[in-house]
Amino acid sequence: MLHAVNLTKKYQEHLALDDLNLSIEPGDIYCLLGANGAGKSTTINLFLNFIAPTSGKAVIDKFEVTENPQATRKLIAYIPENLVLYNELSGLENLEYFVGLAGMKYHQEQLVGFLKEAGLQVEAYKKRVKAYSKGMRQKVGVAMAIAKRAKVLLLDEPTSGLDPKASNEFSELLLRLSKQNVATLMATHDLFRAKETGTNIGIMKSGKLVEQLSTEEINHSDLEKLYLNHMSN
Amino acid sequence: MVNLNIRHELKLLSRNFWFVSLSLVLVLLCLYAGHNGLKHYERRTADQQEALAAQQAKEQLIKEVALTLSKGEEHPNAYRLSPMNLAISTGRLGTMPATQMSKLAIGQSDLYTHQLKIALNEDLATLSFNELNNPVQLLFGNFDLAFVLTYLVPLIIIAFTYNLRTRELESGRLKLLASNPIKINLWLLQRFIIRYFFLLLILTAILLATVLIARTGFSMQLLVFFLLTYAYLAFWFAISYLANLLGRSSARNAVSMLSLWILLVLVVPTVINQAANTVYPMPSRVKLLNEIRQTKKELSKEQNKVLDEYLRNHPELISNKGENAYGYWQGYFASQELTEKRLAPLIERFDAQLAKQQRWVNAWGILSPAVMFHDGATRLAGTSSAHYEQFKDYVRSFSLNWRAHFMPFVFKNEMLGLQELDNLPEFQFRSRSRTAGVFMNISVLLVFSALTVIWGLALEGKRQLI
Ligand SMILES: Nc1ncnc2c1ncn2[C@@H]1O[C@H](COP(=O)(O)OP(=O)(O)O)[C@@H](O)[C@H]1O
Ligand SMILES: [Mg+2]
Repeated sequence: MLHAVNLTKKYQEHLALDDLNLSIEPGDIYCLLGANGAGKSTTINLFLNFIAPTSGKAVIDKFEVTENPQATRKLIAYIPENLVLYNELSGLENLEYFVGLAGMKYHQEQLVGFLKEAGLQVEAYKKRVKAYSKGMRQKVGVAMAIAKRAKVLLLDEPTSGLDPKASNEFSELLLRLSKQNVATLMATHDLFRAKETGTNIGIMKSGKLVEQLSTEEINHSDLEKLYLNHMSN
Repeated sequence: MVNLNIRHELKLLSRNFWFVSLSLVLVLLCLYAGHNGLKHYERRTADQQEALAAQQAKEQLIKEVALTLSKGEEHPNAYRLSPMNLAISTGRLGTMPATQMSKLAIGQSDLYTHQLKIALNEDLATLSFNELNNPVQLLFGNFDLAFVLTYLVPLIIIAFTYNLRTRELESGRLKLLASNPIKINLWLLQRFIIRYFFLLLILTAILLATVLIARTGFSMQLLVFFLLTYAYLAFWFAISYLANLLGRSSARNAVSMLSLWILLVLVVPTVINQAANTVYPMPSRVKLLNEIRQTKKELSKEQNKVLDEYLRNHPELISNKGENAYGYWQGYFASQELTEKRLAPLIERFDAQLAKQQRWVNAWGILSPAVMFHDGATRLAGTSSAHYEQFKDYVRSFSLNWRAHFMPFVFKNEMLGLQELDNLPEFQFRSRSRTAGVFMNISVLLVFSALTVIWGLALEGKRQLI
């Protein structure tokens, strides 16, 4: 579903992403680990076509993103670390607008259904987003993904700053979407959740993907050792 | 996406405290400006009515004298029917009536005269130049609707559009928006167009209320005034759209938009104004007045020669009473005409310079949308410099007429009778509407707006918009 083929991004002389090759299939939850500046966001931005690759290709469902950005964005739902919505609007109104931009039209009840599915408490639907916690806003983001019927989820540190309960709820939502054959690429610092939720793990360092493994192959403490090992040299 | 964005913008704007309160302020400003315009119109009209009434009273009195005399009776005021009295002390009152539309754009009418007495002894040369010589209308002056629209509405547009994209960029929301299958510059254009029409609707309602307050009535000019306003708004929206696409931060956008406002609304008009004076300087007025005095002095030394020459040019005025029939006034008019003839080249230079300045201003005014708008508004209102120029021309030609009409009586030293009184030339000035020229202003504004928008659209793919 998601493929990076020799994907490279250079800023002047600085290699932000160096010859990345990876494949993510429907139902996969691929967790990208790495220190700040490793190139995780760069990877996600390339799939979103927010930035153009210096060389190589980012492919989503057979479309190369630079050639078909509109078609690929129809398939994508994106949740950044800090999901900023329109504060003057309610969660429901925000959902309606963003889903509308994706070209989807729903009745009010359907939209409410998506928010419910994303786990947002009922009292919040019609409250202005200004009063929302970060976790609540992330849930609206998930509701957008559900409503958009996204086949690909691109998540850039979505659980940073969430409390453990909210973080746990978020993981459960990901698992549910994964069962519906959504392919997920998530940048994260949370090794524990990556192991718990992810199907695959990639470790990045200075723009290079230095390790790829399946979460079934490894236990928590080995993953931590491996990660710290990579970070220290 | 259009419907979606319309609903979205309506929600955002109606929940925006600043937008709602600034709209209310705009309502108050416009209504006050309309009220001001109405007061100004009423004052000017009342002044003219008063002067006209006084003039009519004078003429009525003269008619009564003529009536008495026509019955063969005597009248102590019989002298009033002498050509000198009628042509000089009674004279004619020339007025430039205010148009209904002048309530909306008073222009510089404070600086011009709208009524003046036309009498036989006035020098045409000085008559023409005691008016302001500068063809550029200052944009500020009276607090009228045109002022509010020229100055304040662009600021309101800037306030509500300067960060339409950069705010999304800075908050990080732009990425969330752009993760959907939309083109950012088209999406932004839609938001701008929606806000444009939104403001247009609000402003139309406000303008209609203002028109009702000012009681201008409905006319073709009013319709064109609305169109001109819409075109002016479009320009500011277009510029703000481009600034949003080019700018990387809201703060910088605000600064550049305000700088542009200062440049286009304040600096450019002033520079054009000054440059017109520098490039086509007016000959000295003092020198002209001196020349007139000098020429008159010279001519007075040779009164007889002057009168001879005058009569050679106007054989129809020769009196059958012989040389002795001519006194002071005949000599005066003869030398007046000769003075004007001799000074004609000098006066023409004034006129030519003024015309050149006017052309210069018309040509370079294109650089400032504020000039385009304000010029258009005053043209529609009959308060443009062109209108005052036209009034001046009419006064000049009427004065010539007035003179030509009286000369036979002056030279034959004949009193006027009842019938002659009815045949005196009437001063009838009506400003021609200049609606046609205003479409040029509207086109210029629209072309600039369109080019700006096209530039913005062409940035797709060439510039990092997310
Ligand atoms: N617009 C940019 N211009 C220059 N360098 C950039 C830009 N964006 C990211 N980088 C650099 O690219 C590298 C990768 O950044 P990023 O992908 O954001 O890392 P992270 O893994 O923390 O998300 C970093 O060294 C960063 O400094
Ligand atoms: Mg990052």
